Amino acid sequence: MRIDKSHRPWMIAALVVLGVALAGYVPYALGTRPRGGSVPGLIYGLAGYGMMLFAGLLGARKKVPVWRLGRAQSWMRGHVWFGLLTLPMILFHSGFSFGGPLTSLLMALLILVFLSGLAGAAIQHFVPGMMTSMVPLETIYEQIPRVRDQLRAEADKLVRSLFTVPDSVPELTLAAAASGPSRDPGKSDAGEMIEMEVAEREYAGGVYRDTVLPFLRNPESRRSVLADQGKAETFFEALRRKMPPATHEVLADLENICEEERQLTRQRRLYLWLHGWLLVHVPLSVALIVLGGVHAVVALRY
Amino acid sequence: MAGRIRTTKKLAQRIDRGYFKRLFPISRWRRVLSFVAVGCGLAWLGLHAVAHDQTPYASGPLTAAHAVLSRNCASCHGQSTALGRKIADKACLSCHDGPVHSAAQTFTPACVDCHVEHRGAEQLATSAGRVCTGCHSDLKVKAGRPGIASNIESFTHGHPEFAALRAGSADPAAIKFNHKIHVKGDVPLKCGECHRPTGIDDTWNFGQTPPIPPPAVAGTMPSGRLAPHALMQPINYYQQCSVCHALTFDDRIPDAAPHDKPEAVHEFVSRKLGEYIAAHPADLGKDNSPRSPAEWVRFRAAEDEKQLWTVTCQRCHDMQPGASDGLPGVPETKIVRRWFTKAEFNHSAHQELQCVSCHPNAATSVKASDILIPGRALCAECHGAGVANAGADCSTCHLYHDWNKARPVDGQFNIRQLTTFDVRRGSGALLSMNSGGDLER
Repeated sequence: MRIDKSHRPWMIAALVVLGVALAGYVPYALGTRPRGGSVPGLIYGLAGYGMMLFAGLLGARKKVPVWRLGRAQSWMRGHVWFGLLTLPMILFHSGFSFGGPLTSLLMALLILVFLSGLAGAAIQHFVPGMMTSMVPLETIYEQIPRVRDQLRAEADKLVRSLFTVPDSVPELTLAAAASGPSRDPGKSDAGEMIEMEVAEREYAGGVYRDTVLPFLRNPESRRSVLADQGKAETFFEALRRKMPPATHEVLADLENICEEERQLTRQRRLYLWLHGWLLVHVPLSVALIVLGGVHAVVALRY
Repeated sequence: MAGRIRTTKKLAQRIDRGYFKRLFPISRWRRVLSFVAVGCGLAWLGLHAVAHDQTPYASGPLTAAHAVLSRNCASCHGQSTALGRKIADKACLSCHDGPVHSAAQTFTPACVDCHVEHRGAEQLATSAGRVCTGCHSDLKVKAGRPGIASNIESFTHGHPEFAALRAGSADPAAIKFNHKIHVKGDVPLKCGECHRPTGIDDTWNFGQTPPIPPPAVAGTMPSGRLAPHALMQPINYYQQCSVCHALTFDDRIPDAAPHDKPEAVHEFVSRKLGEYIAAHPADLGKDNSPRSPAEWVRFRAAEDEKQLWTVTCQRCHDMQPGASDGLPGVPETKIVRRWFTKAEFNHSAHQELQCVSCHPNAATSVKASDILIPGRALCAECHGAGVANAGADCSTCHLYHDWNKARPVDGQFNIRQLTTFDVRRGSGALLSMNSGGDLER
């Protein structure tokens, strides 16, 4: 979610609300000692808690994407800008005091949620663009393991045209490997061996077994020469020089598979940035809303 | 470089179309952590609930004096209102007395309007100045006009000059004293050699422990609420004056006369002269003195007392003409013990200052009628407006309650009642007790 011009109305609305709240708070604080239990304090508290609930409803909204409850983007913008308002509202409510044990815990939770939300908004602003430029072969994050299995199967199928796959190479893990992307019809495929010297065939088998296959099995490892794009290009260039021209197309496909593996690795890392902060933001938000409700009930009782 | 073809269809075939129905690690951990976070918070509250302890819900730590009540909100929060349970004055008054501020006041604030709890180490008895100026900035009284300034907005705005320093005021002490001679004379003294806060029992350089108790403190504030070293000890002849100004009256008698009423002085002088002539009968008739011991004593006493009344005593007191018994009168000294009778001043809180910083005229004063306390403007140099000051709230100097009207509180609770929260009753321990409720169980 990029924070762009489309956010302007929400930003203005948030600033207006903040301005009104501040305009009310200054004379209130100058006239008396601000307390959460005073009438203005209660108003700020209810407003702040209402904004928390509104921000929390974003999660519920995502559970029912087909309901006609407004656009998800609008909900997200409201979540960001009214979520930002919760901290000043609660500070006005408490008179900038942390209070007792429960209220101190709530204030700590609020600050953590606020900071993690800020970090998340920044990440969501910048990382999607990076994802687009750095991972043109992006896939659905949750499907990465499945796609990797398919890439390994596809590579395995390709190299059968270069040499006989030894028994030490595990069989394809997916029976559906054949349905994966393949070369153009009529080109060499599994079962059609390309003609070359025995030594070249053995060399190709060794390279695949020692370098390419370990990388495809563990593409997240940084130790493989194929984990680095520059080194991988050098590696395949050298390989092409040693192999007959008839194999170059297969080698190019192998190189392409390795590049896709690297992109999936980048996608995984960027995805962890994109969504990892939610492991802090969401649980603490839920705790804040639940415990805030307890605080509201008890505080209103006493 | 690609012979591989990535058509949309082929890419779509890679995907397990039911993937979104399963929880993947980040989503699963988000859910697990949410349950853990909420569970931890509720468990923490639950453990306190099981222990009948409501401390977590306090809006801030109670002051030490009330900390014993922290487990039971309902101890104080007992009055049901539309917005929950509030603190009734009765709850406070069941443990504390709160004498009226003024019989003329038109508005009486609730206890909690001034005494704000749950503010930690902040003094519960200290209230913000605006609580006072809410009335005193435009003071109304039940009848007539206010007898004090009626538009005080702060110590620096509207607060009148101290009463003792207003035009026409003078030190009421009926005594003669020259500060200048004592500070800059032949025997220059330091302030602390005569002036010392109360509660400090130390020897005096120029005096001795007085054989009489110091006079009681005058004013509306009970002395028991003053800080231990708040006031200066009252000037007393024996403590501050006796070494230099001994009340000797006759070369034959080494003892000094007592600093007491003329009758006591006369009795002392006559007794000492009688003892002397009984031990020295050869002095009878000497230097044209009478030959009878009784006559000799009467003769010498008249001479010695004349010296005392007209010179020695007169040095400090305006001796009044004698009555029928021939003894003079001594006006009551009326030395002021407390200048601020409607405010508190604590000397020990200002001990880092030189005396002359606040009493600049002390070194040049030649009359006892000079009032040497600092004025409001001098105080305001430190106790002024703004953040960087030593505090200028009304309660820095003034007490709200008239503690001269204080009454003892009859304790009504036992320790268990104050420290536990009974979920079956759950409300207003102090309030219900104060209303005649029975909490014994």
